[in-house]
Amino acid sequence: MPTLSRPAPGLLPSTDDRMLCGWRVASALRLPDLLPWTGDGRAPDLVIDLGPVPDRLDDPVIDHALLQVAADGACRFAIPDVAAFLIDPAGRHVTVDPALPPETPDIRVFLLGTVFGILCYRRGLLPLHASCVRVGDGAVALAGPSGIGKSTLAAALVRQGHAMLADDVTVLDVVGPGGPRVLPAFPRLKLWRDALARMGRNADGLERSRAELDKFHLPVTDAFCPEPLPLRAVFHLEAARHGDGDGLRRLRGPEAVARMGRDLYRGGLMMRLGLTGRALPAMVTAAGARDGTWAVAHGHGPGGLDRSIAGILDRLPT
Amino acid sequence: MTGFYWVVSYPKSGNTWLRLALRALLHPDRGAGPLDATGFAPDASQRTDIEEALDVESGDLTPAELGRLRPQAYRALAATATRPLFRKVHDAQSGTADGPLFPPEVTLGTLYVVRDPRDVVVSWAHFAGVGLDEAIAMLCDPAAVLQAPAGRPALTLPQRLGCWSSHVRSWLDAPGRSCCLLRYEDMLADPAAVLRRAALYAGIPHGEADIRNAVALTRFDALREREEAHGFDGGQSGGVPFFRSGRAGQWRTALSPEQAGRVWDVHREMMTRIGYIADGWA
Repeated sequence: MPTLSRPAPGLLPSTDDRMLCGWRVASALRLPDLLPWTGDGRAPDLVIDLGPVPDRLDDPVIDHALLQVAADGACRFAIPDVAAFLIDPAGRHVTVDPALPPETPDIRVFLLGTVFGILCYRRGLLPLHASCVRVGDGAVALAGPSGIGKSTLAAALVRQGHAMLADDVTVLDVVGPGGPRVLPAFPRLKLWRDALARMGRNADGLERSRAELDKFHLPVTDAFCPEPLPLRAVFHLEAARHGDGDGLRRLRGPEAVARMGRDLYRGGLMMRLGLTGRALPAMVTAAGARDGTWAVAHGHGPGGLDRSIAGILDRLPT
Repeated sequence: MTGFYWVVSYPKSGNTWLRLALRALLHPDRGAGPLDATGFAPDASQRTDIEEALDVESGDLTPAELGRLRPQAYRALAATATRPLFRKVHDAQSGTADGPLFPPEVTLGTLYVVRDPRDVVVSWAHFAGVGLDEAIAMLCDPAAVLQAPAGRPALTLPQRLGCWSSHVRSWLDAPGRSCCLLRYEDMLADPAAVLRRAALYAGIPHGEADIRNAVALTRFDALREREEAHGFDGGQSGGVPFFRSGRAGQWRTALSPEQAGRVWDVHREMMTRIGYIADGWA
C-alpha cells in the first residue's frame, strides 16, 4: 500500500489557507485561484502537501495512461514533466510532486482539474462538466463537452451581471435537505485568447494557464458568489446542426439522466473508482432540478451566443 | 482487448459516404432516417473520446503532450473494447515520441479512401468556402493542419494532414497490416464491388442482399434527398449542401489548365501510383 510521504522539515513552504467548495484547504502549494479562508477555526478539510510521489502504486487495480488506482482507493495521477499527484482514499489529502517549480500555474491546472474531480467523487459529490452562474436565487449549470464553449458562455453571463460559481467543474451536493445545491468553486475563468478578444479584453497582464498554451486565467473576484446555491437548472450545450442554433428542448426522465451522465466531469473516473452505483441516484436527483434540464443547440455563428443566452434566461422564470 | 478499424482519407475524398455505406451494412435497421455521420465511426480526434481514455481535459494539454498521449489513449480504448472499434480519421499517420500516432498493435485494419486530388481541390473549395488557389495551396502544404474554423466549436483536436501525397503515403506505407485502398472513382462506378471489398477486409458479415440494400440507401441522390429533408452538418461552410455533386472529373471544367497542372506537378508521383494520370484516371 502506498504511504503518503511528507517533505522533510524545513522544506515545507508557508501554508496557504484557502476555501474550495466550502472546504478549508491547507496547502503547501500556493493556490492564488482560491479565495482565502474566512470561516471558523476548524481543522483543514483538505491538506495539500509537497513531497515525493512513487513512480507507480503497488499492484494498482486500475493502471491507465495517466491514472492508477490502488485496491484501497488511493489514486496516482501524473502529467509527465509537470507533476505527479497522490490522492488518499478519503479525498482529504493530496501530495503533489512537482516536476516544474511549485509556483508554476501548469501544476494548479491539473490539481484543479482531474485531481479536483477525484476529490469530489471521493467525497460523495457529483462534479458536472459545466460552468455555473447565479440567476435569481439559484445556480444554473452550463454543461457540455470540451470545446463547446461553456466558459465563453459563462463569461458572457458574468458580463451581464450574473455572479459565477464555477468554471468547467461544477460541484453538486445532492444529499442535503432542500434538493441539489452547487458548492462554489473558485473565482476564475479559463479562456482562450480569441474568447477574450470577443469579449473586448486582451490578455495583457493575465496569467497563462500553461506556458505553452494561449489560454489565460481571468480572475472574477468581484463577480463571484461564494455561497452555495440551490441548483435551478442544467443546460446541456450541444453543437447546433446548422451553425445558427435550433432552440432549446426540455429533457425529461431517462433522457435527462442519460444526458447528465454524459456531462459528468470525467465520468470515466467515476467508473474507475467503482462509484457508478452511488452516482446514479445522484444523477437522478440532479436531473430533477426545479427549472428542469434542457438541451441547448448552441450556435457558433454570428449572434449564436446571444441567442443561447436569451433562450436560457427565457426558461428561468423570475 | 480488440482494436480499431481506421476509416481514413484526406478530407473531401468520400470518407462520410463510405462510413454511411458501412453503417447501412452493419445496422440495416438504422439506414433510412436523418443522416448522422457520427452515429458510426466517430472521429478519432474527438476530444471526449480521448479525454475519457486519459482522464484529463484535452484543452489543458499542449500540442506536444497531446501528440505523445494520443497513442496511449487509443491503446487504453482498445484495452477495454469488446468488439472492433471503427473510427474516422483525417490525420496523416505520423510518428510521435510514443511511436506511430495510430499504434499498429491496436490496429485491426485501415480502410483508406483516395480521390483524384484535382477533384479534392474543387470539393474542398466548395466545402470550406475558399478559392481554388487557396485549396490547391492546402493540398500542397507539408504543414497543413485541419482544425475547426473560428466560430465553430472545437470538438475535435487539430489534425495534421501534411500535403496530399505525404498523407496518402503515410498510410499506404505504414507498418502493420496493409491498408485496403479504395478509390472514390471506383466507389462511383461500382459501389457494390467496393463495399464488398471493404466489408471482406473489415470482417463485416454480409450477403448480396445486404450489399444491395446498403448501396441503395447510400446512392448519392438518396443521400442528397435525405440531406434536403433533414439537413446534414458535415462541417461545411454556411448555406451550402454537404452532398453536392458526387461526380468525378469536375476538375476538368472547374480548374484552369494552369491550376490542374500545378496539382499534377506536385503530386505526379503519388497520383501515378494510385492510377491517376495527367488526363484523368486509369
